[in-house]
Amino acid sequence: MSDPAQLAATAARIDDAVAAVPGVMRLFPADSAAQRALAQVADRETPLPNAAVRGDVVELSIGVDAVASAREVLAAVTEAVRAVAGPDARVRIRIARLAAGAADAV
Amino acid sequence: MSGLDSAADALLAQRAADGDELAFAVLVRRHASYLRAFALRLTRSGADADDAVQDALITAWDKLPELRDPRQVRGWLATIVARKATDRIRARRVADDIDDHEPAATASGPEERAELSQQMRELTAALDELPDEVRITWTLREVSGASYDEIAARLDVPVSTVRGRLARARAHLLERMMEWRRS
Amino acid sequence: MTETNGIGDSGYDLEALSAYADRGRTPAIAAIDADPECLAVLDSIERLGTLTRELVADDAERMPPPDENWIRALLESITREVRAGRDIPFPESDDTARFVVTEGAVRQLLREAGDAVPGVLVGRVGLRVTAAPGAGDDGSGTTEATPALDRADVDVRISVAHGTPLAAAADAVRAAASAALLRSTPLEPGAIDVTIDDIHLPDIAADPAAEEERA
Repeated sequence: MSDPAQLAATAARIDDAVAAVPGVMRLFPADSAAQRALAQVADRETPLPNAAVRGDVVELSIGVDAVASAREVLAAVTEAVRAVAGPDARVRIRIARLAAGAADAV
Repeated sequence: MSGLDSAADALLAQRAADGDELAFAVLVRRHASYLRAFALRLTRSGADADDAVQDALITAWDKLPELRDPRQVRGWLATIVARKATDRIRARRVADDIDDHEPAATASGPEERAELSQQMRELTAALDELPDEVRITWTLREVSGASYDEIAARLDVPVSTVRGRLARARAHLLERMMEWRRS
Repeated sequence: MTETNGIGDSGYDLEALSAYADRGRTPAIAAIDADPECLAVLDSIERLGTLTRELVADDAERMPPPDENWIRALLESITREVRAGRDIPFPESDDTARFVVTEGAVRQLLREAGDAVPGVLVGRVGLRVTAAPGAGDDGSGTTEATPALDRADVDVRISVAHGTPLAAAADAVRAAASAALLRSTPLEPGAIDVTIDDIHLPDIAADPAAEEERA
């Protein structure tokens, strides 16, 4: 049974793996409402992970480069998640932003 | 994306209302200094002014779809800043010392102020002599163009009080102007 | 200002004149409008207003431009869910891997696809998604080799830089929008309407005189 600390650590490793996938511009909090609630009580030194791990389900919200093939990126992200969370991990990926790469440098 | 940087306010406001964060960022960059200067005139506190502008912009993002005329986005932003600034002033009054304001907390230091026109310097001094609520009423009316009803609602006072304060501000400022003309 | 007849011989005091000025001097009051002293006071009241507005504008100009870190932090604070809109599923999703793209993301995509066309600035983007005929919402358990795609009907309003051929610009935006939908979304491009709302002066940032003209 995973404890919260373990889940958070897994989520953080998933964050890193997904951010490294070509075509992924950034991650957003998978569950914004929960994140905001946590952020108010968290110690602010450890950044909250964006990925949400609940049992064998991994939820992600990502920003994808508009010039990439979205389906290819999704497949690569799924692979990256399963490399961390195991081959049986179920993924739920939401593309929350589609923008040209340069556009994210605000 | 330099095209967006020089786009008109109305286009930027429409895009930001649609969810374009980049357009919102351009709007913020374009109007932040003005909004801050306005907030500073109201609050007379740099920290309160900054907070008011930040809160206002976060609220503005949520409410942009409600803006009927995108061309008026700057005035609309100023209205939200006025709301946040006066909230802050009210909270400050409840919390601590009313006299805790810094008349010198404006954008310019003594050297730059020497360059301001004589008239503007005198106006600044005269405005600072006004009691807080009179100065705030004046600023809301003359800078953000709010109506008597809007100001009354914002400051939670009757319209007659707004009318009286504006007259009082003008009486003081006109008196000062006559003195300057004489000297 | 302590004359018993108010200001000049009008019979109106400063408070009345102050309110009259704020009303835009309507409905007109003959006693005020005919009195030179009143007019002088009204004039001064207006000048005070102008001067105050100039003061704030001057303050603003003397301020340093907003810090980029502050802007970044501000953008991090804004709530994105308000603009996200509906989730649009990728039909190849199944129980082990479910993919969606938000309406908001698709509109941003279309906006930037249009912006990339030289001389074009995109304004509003309207998006209507129509479910593919016969496709289930979750796309699971489909027996077809290629599941039917939802259809996107798009309405783009653009501003074109003066000098850019209009029809060509509209066609280019249409093509860019279609390509973007195919590349990045599970949507089939349907009707893509491009409306030219406005003409703008090209590269205003390099031509301050043009900006003056526009104001």
